[in-house]
Order: sequence, then C-alpha cells, then structure tokens
Amino acid sequence: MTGTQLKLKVMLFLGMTALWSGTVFGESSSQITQANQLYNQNQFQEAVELYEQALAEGKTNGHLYFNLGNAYFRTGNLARAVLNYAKAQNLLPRDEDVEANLEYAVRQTEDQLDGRKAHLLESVLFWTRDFNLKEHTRALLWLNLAFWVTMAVWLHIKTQASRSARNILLGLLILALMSTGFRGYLESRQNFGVVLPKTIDIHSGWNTDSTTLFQLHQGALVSVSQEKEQWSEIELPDGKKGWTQNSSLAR
Amino acid sequence: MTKTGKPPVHKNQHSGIFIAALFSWITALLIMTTGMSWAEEVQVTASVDKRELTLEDSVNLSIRIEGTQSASQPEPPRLPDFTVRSRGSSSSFQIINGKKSSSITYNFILLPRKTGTFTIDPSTVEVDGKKYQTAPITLVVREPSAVLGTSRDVFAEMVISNLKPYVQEQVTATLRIYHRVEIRNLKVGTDFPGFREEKLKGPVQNTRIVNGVRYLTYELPTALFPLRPGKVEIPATVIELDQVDRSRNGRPQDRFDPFGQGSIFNNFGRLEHKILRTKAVTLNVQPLPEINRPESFSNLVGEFSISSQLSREEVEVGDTATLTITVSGRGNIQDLSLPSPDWGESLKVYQDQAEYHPINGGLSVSGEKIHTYALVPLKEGELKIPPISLSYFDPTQRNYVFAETLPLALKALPGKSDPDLKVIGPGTLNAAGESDTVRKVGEDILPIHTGPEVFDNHILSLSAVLWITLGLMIPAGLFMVYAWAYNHRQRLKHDIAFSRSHGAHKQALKQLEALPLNSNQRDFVRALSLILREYIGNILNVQGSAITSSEVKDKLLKGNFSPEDVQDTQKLLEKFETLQYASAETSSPEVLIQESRNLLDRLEKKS
Repeated sequence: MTGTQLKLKVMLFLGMTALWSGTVFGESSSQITQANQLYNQNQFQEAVELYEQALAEGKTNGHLYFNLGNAYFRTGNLARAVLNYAKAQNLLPRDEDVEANLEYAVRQTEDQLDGRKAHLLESVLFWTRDFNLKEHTRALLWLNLAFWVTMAVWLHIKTQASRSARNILLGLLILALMSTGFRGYLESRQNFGVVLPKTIDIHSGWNTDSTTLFQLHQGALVSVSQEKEQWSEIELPDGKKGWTQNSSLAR
Repeated sequence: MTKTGKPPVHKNQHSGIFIAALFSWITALLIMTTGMSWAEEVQVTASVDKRELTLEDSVNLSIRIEGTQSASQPEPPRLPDFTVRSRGSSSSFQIINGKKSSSITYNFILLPRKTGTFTIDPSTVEVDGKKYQTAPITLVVREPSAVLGTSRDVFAEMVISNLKPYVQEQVTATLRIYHRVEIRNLKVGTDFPGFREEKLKGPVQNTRIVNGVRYLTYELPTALFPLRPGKVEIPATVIELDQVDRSRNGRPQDRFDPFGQGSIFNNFGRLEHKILRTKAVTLNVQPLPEINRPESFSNLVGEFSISSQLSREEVEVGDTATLTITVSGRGNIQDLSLPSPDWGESLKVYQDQAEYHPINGGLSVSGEKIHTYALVPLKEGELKIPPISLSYFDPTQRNYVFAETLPLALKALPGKSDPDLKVIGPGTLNAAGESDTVRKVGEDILPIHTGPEVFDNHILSLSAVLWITLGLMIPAGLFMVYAWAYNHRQRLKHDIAFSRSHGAHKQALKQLEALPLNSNQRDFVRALSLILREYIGNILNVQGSAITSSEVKDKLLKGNFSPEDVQDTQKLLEKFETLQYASAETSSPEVLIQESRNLLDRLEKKS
C-alpha cells in the first residue's frame, strides 16, 4: 500500500465517521425535541420512553439525562430521577439547574443520602470534576498549541521571559494531560448507584445468609467500591460498608 | 581566506562542558572535603560579645565548632534568668596553602531578666558520636542607671490615667517610649492580666522634656477595664528595639535633626539591640457601691444616653415595622445587652443582632450600640411601646444613673393577607424596615432544558479522539521539523566544517561534469586531482589544494575512513600525479572521470 493510498483511506474513514455521526445525531435530536414536547404536554411516561430511546442509540448528553431525570420525577420514579440527575451532573458539572434538581430529588427520598465518594486523586487534581472531558480536552489542545508555539519563539528569542513562558506552559500542559486522563478515567467508571426497591438489606458479605448490617431505602445515592458475583459493595459517607445484589441498584 | 579551527557558535556544547566541568569540580571538592574531614581536630568554643551588661542590653552567645561542618545543633545551657533566642547558624570552609579549615557557628541572643552575676553553663555538642563541651562563661547584669549614671538615650514608662478606678471603669494605660537617638525594629509585648483591654488609636508621636532633656516619644494607649475589685498589678512591659549608633561610623550627627534620619549619607549605623522594661504598676480597684444599686443594673460603667425610633407609625397587621434603640456614650458600651422585650400577645417582636460603632480618637472608648427589633402587630388597634430603661454607674458622680426612652405608639391597621406569610427572621431588614425576602411556600424541580444546540454529544466520539490525537501530534511534529530546519540553517551559517562538508560532494560532481574532455591530458588530470583534493579538504575541513597524495593517507585515517578507501584514494591521486608528469602514460578521460566519481561516492557515504 502506497503512502497516497493510506492517506486516502484515512480521509475516507474520517469522512464516513463524521457522516455517520451526523446522521445518528440528527435522528436523536428530533427524538429529543419530540420528547421535550411530550414533557411539556404532561405526557411524562411517553417522554421517558423517547429520552431512553435516544440514550440507547448512543446519545450521551448531560441535558438529556437532566430532562430524563425530570420526566422520571414527574412519573413518581424518584430513584431513576436521582440516578439521571447524578449522571447529568457528571457531564454538566457546573450546571446549577442539575445541582438544584438533584438536591431536591434527594431531599424527597427517605434516606436523603448523596453518598458519592470523591477519588483520592481529586484532593490533588481538585479541579478535575469541575469540567467535563470535552472541556478538559479543549484546554489540553489549546495548551499544547500554545506550548509548541512558545517553544518555536524560544528557539529564536532565548530570553528569561521566553524561558519562563515555556516552563510555565510545560507545567500547565503536564497538568492538563494528567487531569484530562484522570477525567477520562472517572467518566469511564461510574462508581455510584441508586437504590431501586422500597427497602433493601445491606449484608456483611455477598450472599443473603450473611448478617444484615443496615437498611437503605429507595432513591439513596450510594458509592459502589467493588463488585463480586452479581453483588456490589457499597460505601456510605460515614464509613459504613456492606453488600447488596446488583439488581437492587440502578447504575 | 578560509577560517579554520573551532566553530564560534556552540552554545549548548559550551554550556554542557561548563556544567560537566562544574559537576566535576564540585565532586572533586566533595571527595576532597569528605576525605579530609576526619583529619581535622574538632574544637568547640563558646563566646559572648560582652560580659557586663544592664537589664536593657542583650548578649550574643556564639558556639563555634571547628574542624567539622556536620555537627549536631548544640544543646544550649539552661538559663532560667535569661530569655534565649536562636539567631541561626553560619558556616565557613577555607583552604589556605593546602591546609583545610572548616567551622560552623551557632548564634543565640540572651536577654537578661534580672540583675546579678550569672554563669552560662557548658553547652554540649555531638560530633561523630563524641561529645564536646564549651567552657563556662560568667556574666554580670546591672540596673541600667547603675552603669550609665547619666540620662539615658532610650527608656520607657507606663502611664496610668487613674490608679483607683471602679470595677469596669475605663482606665487608660499609655506606654511611652522616650528616645533621643534613632530606634528601629520596635517590638512591644504588653500584658494586662485582670483587665479587659481595647486598643485605642495609636501609636502617637510626640515631643516631651524630661529633666531638661528633649525626647521624642512613641505613645501607645490602651483602654483597660478592671474585671474585679482589689489590688491588681500591671506587670512590667518588655520592649525590644534596635538603637542606631551612628557615632561608631565616625560621623557625628545632630540627634534632633529630623532631616539627618532620612539622608542617604546617614542611613548607616551600628544597630544595638536593647530591652527596655517599664515599672510594674499596682491599681487599687474599687468595688461598685451596693447602695442604690438598681435591679436592672448590668455592669455598665461610664456616661451613656438612650434613644428610640420607629420606622413607621402605622402598619398593617402581619406587616413589619422596625424599632431602633440607640445607646451611645463613653465606657464599657461593648458589654451592653438589652433584654428581649415582652409587650404582650398583640405584638410579636424579633430581635436582630446589635451593631456596635466605635468612635475613634482620644484616650477613651466611646461609641454607640444600635439594637434593632422587627415588630409585627398581630391585632388591630393602638399599640403602646413602653419606655425602655437603662441603668449605669457614673464614676464621676459616684452613683447609679437611670436613663430611658420616650414611650412610642404603633397604629395597627387591618391586614390584607395572611400574617404568617410575611413573618421574617432577624437580619433580613433593610434600612426602611421593610422585608427583603418572603418565606418560601413551595418547592419544585426546575424545568427541562430545550433547544437542539444543547444536545450535542458530551462524550468523545471516535472521530473526535482521532482529531484530538492529531491535534496533539501535529504541533509537536511541526515544531520538530521547524527546529531541525532552524538548527541546520544555523549550523550552515556558523559551523564552517559542517558548511564545507555539506556541499562538497555536490560541488565536486558538478566540477567533474564541467571538465572539458578534449583538453590536454596534463591539464585534465591536474584539474581532476584538484577536484578530488578539494573535496577531501572540504570534508576534513583543511586546505585541500595543498594536500599531497602522501598526506591524504594520514588525514583520511584520522577522519575515520576505512583503510581500503584511504588506499584507493591515495592510489588514484598517485595515478593522477603519474599521468600529469609522465607523458608516456595515457588513460581515457571518461574512465578517469568515472573512477573519480566512484571514489567520491564511496567517500561521501563514509563521511
């Protein structure tokens, strides 16, 4: 295969990908518009179905999760509402509407528990959760460009100022790389779940014969620390830990 | 003229050599230092800068450890009669005539607490597991006047406005620091146990005459409120400062010349650390009289007045009016707290946090305390607000005084809405007494987000990941190409050897092509020989035209060419020489050019 052929194939692949993305997103957008109209006409269950359909087709959008959360809230499904608000917050970390609705929905639950746990690295890369992956990537690309431009400038003008600018940008670029990677990791693993049944028993081990440690109620938002044989270990902010079956948690 | 030798621009190489040299130098120095350290004899000595001093002076204690730089921090001796402060350490290392000497000195400053003769016990230092001790030192501490005998340059006193105050009556304690020389780095540590203290505006600079001598003063006033009756002592205040001694620089100056202090010619002088102490003062605090003491009295001592004001005279039932009660005056007004009033069931009262506004200036604490109440009438009609009374003790009259506000009336009109909805909590009143917020009666989720533009995918698609990868790689790749081109250009410009060898092959081939084949053999082979020697001269950065076939061998071997290449080159050059000088020998020009070209190609590959 010659170099020209390879280039052509890459361009064709990228073009096809872009075209495919456009088609898929075009269809999803009309579904979402329709779902929004149904919601505004108080047909909440129908709106839920269309929102879920858009998600099943590969659409991943914070506003979509937010609207789905609202639709579930109106149908009385508090657990699913909490779950979708939490997912929306993951993608829209600074959206005040999402924060308000999540807080309000959690307050309506019996346990009023938002037990999502921050990753240990977040104490160092504390800004990571404040921006979604797209925003992190954008910042990374701009910093990368700025860094290499500064390197080119530094090649010509080797002053203290250009050296300092180069070093500062290198530091920022490394931080951006770390935080983008970390954000990608956080988005790839969803470490929270919401209790679906009215009441669930939390066991000391991953079988029903083990001791019941405590109970949680519908809509409790908990942190999942590990999974084993269809069971999930959950962790509460006060340090309590225990196991529940995966089917009891919406994730 | 062709410039030979080292190329002028090789900044990176230079800095690399410099760093390597520096590193080697430091390593050698370290090896030498560590290798020689045990050879030195360790000595530990303690010294002071003076052995006789006054209570106003300080002593510098230096513990010097010679023969090592790795000694542990010395344990300073226990000195209960001094305040000990560490002043850090300094180290030195010298090699004089091959003899190495190193030392480390730990410095301490000692501030005497009382007069007498004191011995500084030996300090212990541990070096390589062995303990060393310093010799004891004797110090004599005297009263300041006993040494000076004459009027002093710097001294301090504590002036108390009233030595027989009542409990909670304000007393002003003014610390005055008198000086007739320049002072710097003033540190004051006041302590007033048994009093509540409030800082007054200061410090104030002044001029005072003491025993006919003119002094500049710093005055720091503090308002004190005695907390209990009986004898209460204000302990001696310790003041630390640096006295500037300019006379030691041989520049006598007028101590009262205010301009001299700011002049750059007089800005140098030796600093002498001084500790001043005021005398302890005992106050006889009197209890507040029991006779005529009102029941409502709450330890308010001073001179005060009280006033009240309603934000409006008419208000609807359920609506709010604001009552403001202002107490102003001089004394311990900060301690004032008015009781929460109870004016029956027809009026609901919410008390706000009181605000205190001090009035700065002067040597007394004064100000006003504003209490705000939100009044919500619960019934229609004329509501009476009775006078609010205040009792305090006036030290000037030596008696208790009553003060009260005028009675007020609030007309409650019929309400239009549910009074509960307008009920507000404390802290939400604006200046007009109106409420800023209304209590929330309901709560709901916020509406859905609409608009197609907000529904773009929030995760990265495959194409986006590809573009991001390219976005990260392309600038780096472009920079590398640019940097290579830039460095290449710079090298061609500044590195003569590189520049000559860079175009040598191309130039030689060009010259070979341009050779006229029909010229006579002697000129032809001379030109061929010159082309080949110039090529060799260019790749080795030497004068090519002057090289002989026998010199070529040495030069090429030094240039890391293979023996075969060297031999072939020498042979060809010798052949050219033979053809040039022996007319009997002949050879085809095309063959000679081809042989030359082959050799040039081989040498170019190796160069």
